[in-house]
Amino acid sequence: MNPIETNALTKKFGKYTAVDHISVCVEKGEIFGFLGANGAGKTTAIRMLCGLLIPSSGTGTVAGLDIMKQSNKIRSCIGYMSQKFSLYTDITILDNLKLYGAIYGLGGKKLKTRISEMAEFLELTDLLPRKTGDLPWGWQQRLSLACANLHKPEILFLDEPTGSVDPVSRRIFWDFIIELAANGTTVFITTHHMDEAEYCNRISIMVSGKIAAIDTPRKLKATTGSETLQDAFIKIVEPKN
Amino acid sequence: MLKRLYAIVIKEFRHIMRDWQTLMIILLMPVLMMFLYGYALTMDLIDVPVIIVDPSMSSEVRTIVGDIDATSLFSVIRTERVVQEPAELMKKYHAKLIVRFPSTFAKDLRRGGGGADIQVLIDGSDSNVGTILKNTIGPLLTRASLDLIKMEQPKAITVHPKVLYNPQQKSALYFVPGLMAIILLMVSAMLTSLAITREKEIGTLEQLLVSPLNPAEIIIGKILPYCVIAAIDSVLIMLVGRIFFDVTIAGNVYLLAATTAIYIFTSLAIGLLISTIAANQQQAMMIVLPVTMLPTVILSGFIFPVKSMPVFLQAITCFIPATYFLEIIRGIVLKGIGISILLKPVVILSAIGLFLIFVSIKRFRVKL
Amino acid sequence: MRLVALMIWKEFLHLKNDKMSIRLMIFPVILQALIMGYALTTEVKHTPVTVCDMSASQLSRSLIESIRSNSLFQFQPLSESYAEVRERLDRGESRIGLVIPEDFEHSLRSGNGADVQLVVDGQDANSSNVASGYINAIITQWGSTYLKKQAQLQGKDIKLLIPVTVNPVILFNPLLKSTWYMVPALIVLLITMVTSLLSGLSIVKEKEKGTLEQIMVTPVKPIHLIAGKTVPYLLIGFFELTIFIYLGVGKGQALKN
Repeated sequence: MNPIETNALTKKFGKYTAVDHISVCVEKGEIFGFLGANGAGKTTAIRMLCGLLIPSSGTGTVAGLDIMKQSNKIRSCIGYMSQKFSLYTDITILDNLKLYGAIYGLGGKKLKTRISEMAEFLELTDLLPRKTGDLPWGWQQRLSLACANLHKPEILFLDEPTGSVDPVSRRIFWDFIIELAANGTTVFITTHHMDEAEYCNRISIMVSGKIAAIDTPRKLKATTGSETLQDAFIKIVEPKN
Repeated sequence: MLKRLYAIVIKEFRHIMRDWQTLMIILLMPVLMMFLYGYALTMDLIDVPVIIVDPSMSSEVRTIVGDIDATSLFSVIRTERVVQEPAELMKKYHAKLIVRFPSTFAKDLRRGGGGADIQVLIDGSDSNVGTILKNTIGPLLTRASLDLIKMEQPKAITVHPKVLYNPQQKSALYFVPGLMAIILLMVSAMLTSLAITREKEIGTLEQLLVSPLNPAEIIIGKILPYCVIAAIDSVLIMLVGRIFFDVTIAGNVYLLAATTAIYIFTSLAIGLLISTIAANQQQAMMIVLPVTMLPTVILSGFIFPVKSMPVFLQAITCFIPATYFLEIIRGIVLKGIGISILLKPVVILSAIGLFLIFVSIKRFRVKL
Repeated sequence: MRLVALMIWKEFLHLKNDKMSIRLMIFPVILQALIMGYALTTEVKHTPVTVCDMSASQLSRSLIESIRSNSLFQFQPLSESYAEVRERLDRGESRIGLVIPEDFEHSLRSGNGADVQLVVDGQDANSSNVASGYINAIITQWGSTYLKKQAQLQGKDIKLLIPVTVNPVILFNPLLKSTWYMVPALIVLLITMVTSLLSGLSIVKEKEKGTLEQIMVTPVKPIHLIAGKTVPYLLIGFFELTIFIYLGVGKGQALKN
């Protein structure tokens, strides 16, 4: 069973179709780049997969579980990082980690170990006692990533994790993501940074709710006759050029 | 400058219009409260339950009991022959009064010379009710007894009462102006402070502050829509009062409108001040409700008479704008008095408002 | 269950970091309950009264004195005329006016009984009823004292004139102190307000900040979150209630002594 599978997944808001019959299949350990212009429907699709939105039609499974009927079980198997910062700014970094670790069932010594592991990898150790809201954006995003990964989920959903993040933090992020994928975690990631998209095993490009293209970076560049992924992206999103 | 101001006012209106649920609440709540206070909150005493204790079961006592029951104030619900625990009896039947006749009452009354002593037990839990009952039952029993033996009660003084300003003693007439004060405070102070602290919380206020807008424009822009809503509310309240509760304005309508405007202005100033103190909406709410609204409801003279309060509380009421507004609005609506008598509270109210605005604007620049 | 405990712990974390909110939750409420519960009353005291004495006789002065000496009323300067009484009421300087006619003493002595006019500010039906009840009682009391004296002078026993006496006894609140009636009500009011407000606001705050979304992706179910949002404020409510009861009972004991 593939970690993520959808079949004609659709979401309508009244007359407006945000996600239009998308069918994807993500393999285990894959870093899957879910690209598209702003407003193409990416966040809506991710939210359906995470159980935050109910699809209008179509089917999908995450970790082999039905997204409509078994969304509760899905929640224990995934990690999620939203576009906007969604952790608590009024408590310390350590407290946020403790909280989310405990929510996912970690406790006692195991929790402590995981927290120090994450903190070390994402270079947050010195910042643990600081109030979350006081820290710069890049560090806050690292915290979000750490919290999403404490319970070693099978699948990680990352919605623009590196938006407005400084280059140092970005490098740390991607080192982390690549390591995770190598160890079997499936990473479903949205990004606008084309250099990052190169790291993905496969990329899909959403245009107006539909999936316009889905392939490896190299093949995408080849089929659109582009030198860079950026050109390929633009050609697919705006074919009239 | 006017163009910028116009833009921000329109933005505020859009915020409010988009949140139509809140809008409905703001506009409908006053009407709802009026019905609640007007119909449900009557302090009028009618059909107060009375229990009679009459060992003799004589016709004389029955006549007197009939007289008691005939009043609209009292309603005889039970007659017992003997009672051991009057307090328990009262609690069991929810009576407020027990009238206990001695077994030899009829004889003593006809013989004259004393001995016809009636004991009355009164439920004093609500002290005002207790007082009224105490002052009413005595003369009632005396007169009924004397009527029975066809004795003329020797007259000393007959009191002729004349009730001014509210001859029909309608509670609504007293409450409606008071409600106006409370609701306007709630709309102006609460909503304004919430609106501003919300922007503080979300962070959009920062964006406004880096724009060419100066703080005064931001403030006015935020306040103006709530001004309009408060004005609509006040008209709504007076209309409902008129249609459903026969509240008519004895005095000058324009004076009423002008003084209401001053009060709205002062309430907005309070909301503004709160928004400079509170860091988020939760705090703003906690300052508005228990610290601003509740003291206003309790101390302004809305329900509890100020004169009955201890001196130190009376001193505190001097700082509450609603105290002055209530004096003004009751004066105009109920008494029909004019600006000559009302000048003092109007001036004080305006002064408070100006002072608060001044402090708020100063804090606004610094705190944000 | 574990998740509920976690959510409660989280809520306390938030509160710990928001000292201002805690202070606002507890102190103003307790302070107010103290001040208002202890001092506030619906009793009608210190009603300002003005008298217009057109009789200026020994008897009228005696009647006026019985009102003046009664602490329930705040005696205002005498009015010269009915018009002045009206004016004082308009101004709000007085709530009750008594007009004693010229022939007051004459009417009384002749045995026909005298008439006096009471002018009452009727805005607040409740307190005006109580106040006019008081003053009626005072006048009636004065009247019966006068009658008793007259009866004694004539050698008659007053009991022959008025053969019935009514003895009132107040149950449950012998001193007719409205505090005992008010305080419990006030407590209910304050605690309802504080607890419902705080829990509601807390949820709205998470919605607005966006942190709710992150929680929703986790195994935390709505019921866990709600429990977490209500229990801490429940505890704060209990804490405040305990203080109220302790103070209330303590005050009650003091009143008894």
